Amino acid sequence: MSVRLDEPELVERSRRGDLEAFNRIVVAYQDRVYNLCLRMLGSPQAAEDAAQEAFLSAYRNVGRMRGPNLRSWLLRIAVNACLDELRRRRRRPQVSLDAPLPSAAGGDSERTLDVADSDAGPESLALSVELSEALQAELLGLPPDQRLAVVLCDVEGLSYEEIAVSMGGSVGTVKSRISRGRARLREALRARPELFGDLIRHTEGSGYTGREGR
Amino acid sequence: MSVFFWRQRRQHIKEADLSAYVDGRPEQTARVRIEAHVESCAECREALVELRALRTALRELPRVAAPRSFALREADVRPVAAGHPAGTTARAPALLGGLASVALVAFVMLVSVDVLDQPSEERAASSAPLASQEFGDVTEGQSATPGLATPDMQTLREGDAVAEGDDGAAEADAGPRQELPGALYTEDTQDCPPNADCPAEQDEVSEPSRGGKVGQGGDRRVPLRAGEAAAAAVAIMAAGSLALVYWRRRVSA
Repeated sequence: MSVRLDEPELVERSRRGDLEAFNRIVVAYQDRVYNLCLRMLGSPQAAEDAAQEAFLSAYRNVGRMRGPNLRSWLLRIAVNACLDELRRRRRRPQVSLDAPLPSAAGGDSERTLDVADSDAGPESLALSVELSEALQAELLGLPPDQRLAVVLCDVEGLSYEEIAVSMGGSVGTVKSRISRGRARLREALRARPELFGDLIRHTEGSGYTGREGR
Repeated sequence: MSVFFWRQRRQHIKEADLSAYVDGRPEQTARVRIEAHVESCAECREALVELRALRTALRELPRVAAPRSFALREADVRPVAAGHPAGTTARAPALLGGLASVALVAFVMLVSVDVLDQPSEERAASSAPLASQEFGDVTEGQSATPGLATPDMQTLREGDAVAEGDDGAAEADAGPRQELPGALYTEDTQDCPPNADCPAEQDEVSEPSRGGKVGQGGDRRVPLRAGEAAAAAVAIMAAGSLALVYWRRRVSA
């Protein structure tokens, strides 16, 4: 990816206040940041606000960025923006009406499904709309720390180490959160065999090897 | 030995280990153990299949393009550049905190000096309640607005003087102390009865002490002095500003 090659220079220029350089970083990462926020918050509007806040915060703090991993750093800022939003919802419960309810999540997913993923290859498993909606709704039902760990691991594809950086914490904590989150999702989906059954058959049929490294 | 392996095979794999296994993250020994167990345990095999299916499904969740560009405009960052400047917000709380501490220490020192200046017998009679009253004043003052704090404190000190004057009178049977607070400062005017003949002189003595004149002869009730009031006010304002800075930071975050 050509953007990745330019990252250190773009970061350096951003530190000197070069907004154009920073905006090239924004363009490169905005889909990823927005999707993370959407999975975490469930509402497109809240995700949009959180993503914007995350980039603004990133610009303000780019001088403090340490280490070479811009992606983890940006995702960490996005994670914080999402957690702030979730905290605000806890303080003002009426705002949460637009998020964790399955029906609302379903509405979001409909919008989500309007745009197909350009990265999805023709051989990829096409999830049914119902399964996507059910998964998103169950994700939103997880406690924030487990939801975040599962989203970063399974949706964003980060390694345990990157997740530990993004969330703050140890790899052991990350492992535990992912495990607990997945266990709850698994239980929830087991209750809906009409959705999960097809998926399991498809997965087994696609060549189960018993392990899947990264 | 074979019994050990048999038991190990019978024991289900922990959820966390299965989850890590799906991610390709088990240690080598755990991998061998898990694979050996899963071969013979339908329950764990099923759990593993479900975990893998779940992981696949989550990875396949449709991703969306950002609904708009999040590129920042100059207008977005200008107020930040003006108001945020790395140093100010970072140092402001420290400066305010330092100022509040210094002012508080100054206030306490002034009060202490005031208390210690009293003749020893009077201090014995009154320093403990006096000191506690002083600190009571500090606490109250901090929770009130600076403008209101000073009159409140003056009022309290006057009341205090009245009450303690009465106590002192009862204990020591000292006649002149039965009088109003003004009379407490009138040692130099003992020949002048509190209530009359020389009003001008009495005013001259009582007014300055009320306004904060320090250490006049046997003075032991100085209601509120300028130094103490200023230090308390600075401490209150600095603490208030500090709270405001933190609040604004939290809101903007």
